[in-house]
Amino acid sequence: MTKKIPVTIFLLVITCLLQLFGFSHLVLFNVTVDAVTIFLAVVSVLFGQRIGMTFGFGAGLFIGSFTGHPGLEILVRTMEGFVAGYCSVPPDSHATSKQKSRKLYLAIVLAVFAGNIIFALGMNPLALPFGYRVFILGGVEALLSLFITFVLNRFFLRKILSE
Amino acid sequence: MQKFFRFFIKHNAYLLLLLYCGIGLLFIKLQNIDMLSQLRQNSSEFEAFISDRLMSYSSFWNLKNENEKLLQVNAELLAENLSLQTASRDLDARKKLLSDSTVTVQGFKIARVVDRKFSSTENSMVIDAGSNDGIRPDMSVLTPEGLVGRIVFVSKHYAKVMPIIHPDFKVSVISDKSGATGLLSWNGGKEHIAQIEHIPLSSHIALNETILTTDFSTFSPRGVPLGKVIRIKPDKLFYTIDIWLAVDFSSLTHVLIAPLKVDAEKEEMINHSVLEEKQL
Repeated sequence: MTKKIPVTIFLLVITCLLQLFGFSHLVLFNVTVDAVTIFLAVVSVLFGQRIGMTFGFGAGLFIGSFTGHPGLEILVRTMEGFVAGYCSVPPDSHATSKQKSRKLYLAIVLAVFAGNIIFALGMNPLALPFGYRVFILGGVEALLSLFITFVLNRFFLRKILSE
Repeated sequence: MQKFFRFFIKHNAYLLLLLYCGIGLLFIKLQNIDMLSQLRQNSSEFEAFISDRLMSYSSFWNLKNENEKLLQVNAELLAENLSLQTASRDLDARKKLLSDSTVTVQGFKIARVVDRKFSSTENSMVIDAGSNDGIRPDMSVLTPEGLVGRIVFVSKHYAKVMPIIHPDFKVSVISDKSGATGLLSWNGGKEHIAQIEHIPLSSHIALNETILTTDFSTFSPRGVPLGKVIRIKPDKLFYTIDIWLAVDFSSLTHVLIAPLKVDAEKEEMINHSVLEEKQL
C-alpha cells in the first residue's frame, strides 16, 4: 500500500489540475463534473477513511489556493473523503469486484451529497435555494459522477478494485 | 495517559476529521490576512494565465463570427462618426467660450475575457488586465451594449469581475422615459433577466423602457444601459420589475473598464451621515 500512495498523490495533483482548468468549464444544468470527488471516493474505498480524508484535505488545500476559498474547499473535500470512507473495502475482504463496485457507487453518491451540502452552506453564487442545490443539483451531479465512474469502471477501475 | 491513547486510537478518524475541519475553519476565519491574500493573488494570476492560454486556442474557432461582428460594428461606427463630425463642428464654436473647463476625462481601458465561470460554486469572470494596467477594485466593466459588472479582485496582470448576474451585485438605476429610480439586483434564475426593486407604485414606468445607471452609484458612470423592462408586477408599495439585460454574458469576449469614479466629497458626506445615524 505504501508504494501506491506516491502514485496516488501524483494522480490527485493531475486530477485537481484537470478539474481546475478543464472540467470546471464543463457546466451542465449549473453543475460541473467533479473529478476530484470521484477520485476521493475511489481513494477512500481502496485505502480507508483516514487516508481518504487526508487526501481530501490535501485536494481542498490545493484547489482552494487557486479558487481563493481554501477553507471551504478543505471542509468540502475532507468531508467527501470522510463520508466515502464509510464504504471502504478492507484489504483482507473477500468481497467480489461487483460488490466493491457497488460500494464505490454508493461512496460517490454520499460524497457528492456531502460536498453539495457544505458548498451550499458556504457559498451561493447563483442565489439558488438550499434544497434545490442539494437535492436537484446534487442529484444531477451524482448521476453524472455515477455515469463517469461506470465508464471508468468498464475500462480500468474494476481491475484496480479486484486487486 | 493509556486511556487517552486508547481513546485516540479508537476514535482517530473522528479526531482527524476534527483537526482537518478545524484547519479549514481557521482558513475561513483568516481569509483576509496578507499572506493568504498574497497566495490567492499569485494563484489567481497562475489560473488566469493558464485559462488565457487555453482560451486563446479556443478563440481561433470563433474568428469568423468575431470578424462578422467587427464588420458590423465598423459600419455602425462609420455612420456614427459622420454624424459626430457634423456635431463637432457646431460644438467647436461653443468650446471657445469654455476655455477654462475643469473637466478631466480619462480613457477607458480594453480587456479580453480570459475565463468565465457560471456554476453553482462559482460565478465570475477574469479579464486580462490587472494592477499593472491601472485596474483597481470597484472599477466598472462594460461593453457598448451595457454594464457587465464591477472589478472585485485585482492581481498584477488579471482582474476578477463580479457580473451583474451575481446575487451580491447591486446598482442604482433609472428608467430613461419615466425617470423612475430603483435598485437593480439579480435574484438567481435566468442568466439574461434581472430585477429592479424599490420603484414606487406612484411612478409611471412602462414596458420596453430602457434602464440606465444613475449618478447615485458609487462605482458606475451615469447613463450606462442595463436592459429593457419586460415585466411589471405591482406589489403592496413597490413594483417588482424584470428587465432583459442588454449584455449577452454567454458570448462576451472583450470588455471596457471605466476609470474609477472617485468623488471624495460625496463619499465623505455619505459616510458622515451614516455615522451620525449610528450615533443617534
